[in-house]
Amino acid sequence: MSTLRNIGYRKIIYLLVLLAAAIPTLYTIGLPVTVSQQSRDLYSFIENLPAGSNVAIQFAAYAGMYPDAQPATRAGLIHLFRRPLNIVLWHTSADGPMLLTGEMRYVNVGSRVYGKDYVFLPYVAGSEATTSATATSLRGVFKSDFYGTPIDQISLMKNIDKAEDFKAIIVMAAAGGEEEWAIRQWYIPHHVPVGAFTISITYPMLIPYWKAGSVIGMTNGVLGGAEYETLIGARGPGLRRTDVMSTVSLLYVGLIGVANFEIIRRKI
Amino acid sequence: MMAAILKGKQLPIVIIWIAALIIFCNYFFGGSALGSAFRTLTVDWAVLIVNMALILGSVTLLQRSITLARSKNSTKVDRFMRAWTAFLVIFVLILGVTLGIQSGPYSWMYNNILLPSWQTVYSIIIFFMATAAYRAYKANNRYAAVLLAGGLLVLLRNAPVTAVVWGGFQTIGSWVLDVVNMSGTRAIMIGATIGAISLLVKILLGRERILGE
Repeated sequence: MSTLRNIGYRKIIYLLVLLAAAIPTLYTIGLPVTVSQQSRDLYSFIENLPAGSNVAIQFAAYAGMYPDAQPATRAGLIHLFRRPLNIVLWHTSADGPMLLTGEMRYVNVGSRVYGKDYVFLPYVAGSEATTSATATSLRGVFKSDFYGTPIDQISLMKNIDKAEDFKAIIVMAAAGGEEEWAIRQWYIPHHVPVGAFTISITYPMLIPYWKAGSVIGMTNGVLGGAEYETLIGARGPGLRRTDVMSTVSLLYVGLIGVANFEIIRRKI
Repeated sequence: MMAAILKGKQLPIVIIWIAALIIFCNYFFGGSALGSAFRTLTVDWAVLIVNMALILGSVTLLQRSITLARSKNSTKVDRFMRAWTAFLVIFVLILGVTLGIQSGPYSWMYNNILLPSWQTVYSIIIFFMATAAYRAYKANNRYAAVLLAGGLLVLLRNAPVTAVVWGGFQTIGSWVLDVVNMSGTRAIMIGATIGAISLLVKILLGRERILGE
């Protein structure tokens, strides 16, 4: 321990972390992933939605935490666009439109037509108040779509306006409690089921909601993304990054073990 | 008389009372059409106010950067950095407003400057977390040992390789997350909600400092 301290443990740890992250990035092992019940619930719910159901997506991605959210977000979008659902997406973060444009390159929309099968609405600030306003009237919040087309000229939006018109609301890549906004403003007053593709920091906070049935299911950061990729059968950034997660997590366990070795030895 | 009313805190309290009562009743008991219309109106106002605040915040930030850039008390480097910030804000704003955020130059700047910068900042946490785990995660007493055990179990659960070694890691880790963590999170949530309710009561009674004291 003292030798480690003399050399400068920070340098050694940083070097070990670098190696633990770099080696599996360069040489992918492809370890199997155990799918959690939460991810499975979300997948099953989306999979069992009747064809033609209207699904709202609240896209809340921020650039800062996007590495953690990206795998699940992409897998979720692939799954949602694979199914014959009517998708209405809007942004609750200023970064959202740019990040969505990047992700849509990986999503095969197939024969789905913009404006008829799916619509992208712009970003509107306002946090929970905006989520509340969208539940009451989408037209009250958005006058046009992301590309400037007036809402009234979009065929998909003809019969869609309020929360009751949707079969579910999916919150994607949230880091600021957007899932709770949806629970409070969409699920409790309007009984619209809420699903979440979330980051690992938010995930433990959502467990009580999932147990209580307020959230139908959710994914857990990169690991959840890998699980969802396994479920939809599309290998992506999640499964590539889980090897890194394994090596770095084991390194953390090792470091904790080394740090506690002296304490345990003294007690024994 | 009018000035006294406007300066005092009675008027804000009356406005808050009326707004809170209507929104509260409408949310929990399903109110009248008039109540619903009022609620929609206030929520729309809130959205508008937040959007205006965003613009105001940007202008204030810009103004402050310019003021500091012109300040004689700052160092040369500091002044340059402030002026550079102000220039960048104006430049990106003009680019976004004139060409649109889908345009090539704007997208290029976002995808090649902002996104990698943010992601780098987020990613280097991995190094600090490693040293923090080494320094702080020590079983110095019983409580610390319990915390350590819980942390280790969740850590092992989050490493897919452990499932290959022994499936029990996943089961136990999930139990810690789904049962132990849940009880703690629920307690925090309930506590925070009670705190929010007490704040509301304080505001309604005019005991909160934000009302011009």
